[in-house]
Amino acid sequence: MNALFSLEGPPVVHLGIGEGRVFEGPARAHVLLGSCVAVTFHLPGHGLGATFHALLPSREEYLRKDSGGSPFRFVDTAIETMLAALSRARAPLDRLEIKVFGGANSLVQGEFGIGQKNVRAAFSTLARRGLRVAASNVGGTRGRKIVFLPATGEVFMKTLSETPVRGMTSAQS
Amino acid sequence: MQRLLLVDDEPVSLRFLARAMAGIGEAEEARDGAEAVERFRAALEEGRPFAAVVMDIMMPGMDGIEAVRRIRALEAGAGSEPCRVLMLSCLDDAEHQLAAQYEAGADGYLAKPVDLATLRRAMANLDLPADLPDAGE
Repeated sequence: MNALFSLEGPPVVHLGIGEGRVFEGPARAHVLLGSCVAVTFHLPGHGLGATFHALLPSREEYLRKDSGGSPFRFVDTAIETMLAALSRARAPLDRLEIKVFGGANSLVQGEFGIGQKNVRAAFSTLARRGLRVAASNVGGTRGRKIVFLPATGEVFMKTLSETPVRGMTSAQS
Repeated sequence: MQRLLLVDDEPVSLRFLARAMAGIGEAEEARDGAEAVERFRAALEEGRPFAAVVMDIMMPGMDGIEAVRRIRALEAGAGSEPCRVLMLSCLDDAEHQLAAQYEAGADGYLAKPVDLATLRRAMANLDLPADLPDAGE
């Protein structure tokens, strides 16, 4: 894991809440998750990958509570936006390797259940597009730090000693 | 060396799992959920609990999700540190992945088919107490 944080190697990109990105070259995408969700997308054999850091399950349900402008703030619009971007990058969507991370139950914030709602939103949005989830690491009461290597699709993960506070970005970890 | 419990009703899958665990721990096997729970209970009573369990879901008799629920109940009853549980199943739908992790208490889920490297990477991400190969999922 230490090599993932060294100054050597592919550029490090910290994705805070509401941020997402398609990577067409080597990178290390760092995401710090509590009840938030990150979905990773990788096209095997092409060095293409993408991920995002979403806060709330669905734009339609939560827009009044969160007027943030980025589609990556909401799991459903984040997935749709990312799939559109990957399509523009000529990625065949049915060949994507997709993984879901996060969705811890943030008991400290009295928000029991939002993590699971986020994860459910991810699975249902992907299922509507006929896409399967190859791996997931979700739930529990502890946060996660993930480092995604979009060129290979690998995800390195550490569970944290506690769930990060909402609004904290991975750059603050 | 830490003890690992591999649970699957398919002998071919068990051989694959045993190969994947080389260098990670001392692998023992169970062929269904009920046998896994009994092996787990005995290990707790011996004072040599399993560090991790790799669990299939669709097995004769007790399925893997129910077995994980019972393992978590045994740990709670014994006041034991929770072991790491990785589910490994051909069922890739939301209901099974969420039930395993949110309701039963598994720590991760891989949908079959998986290759050796992917499985070892998923084990590394479980944060087992002993040193594991430094790899991603």
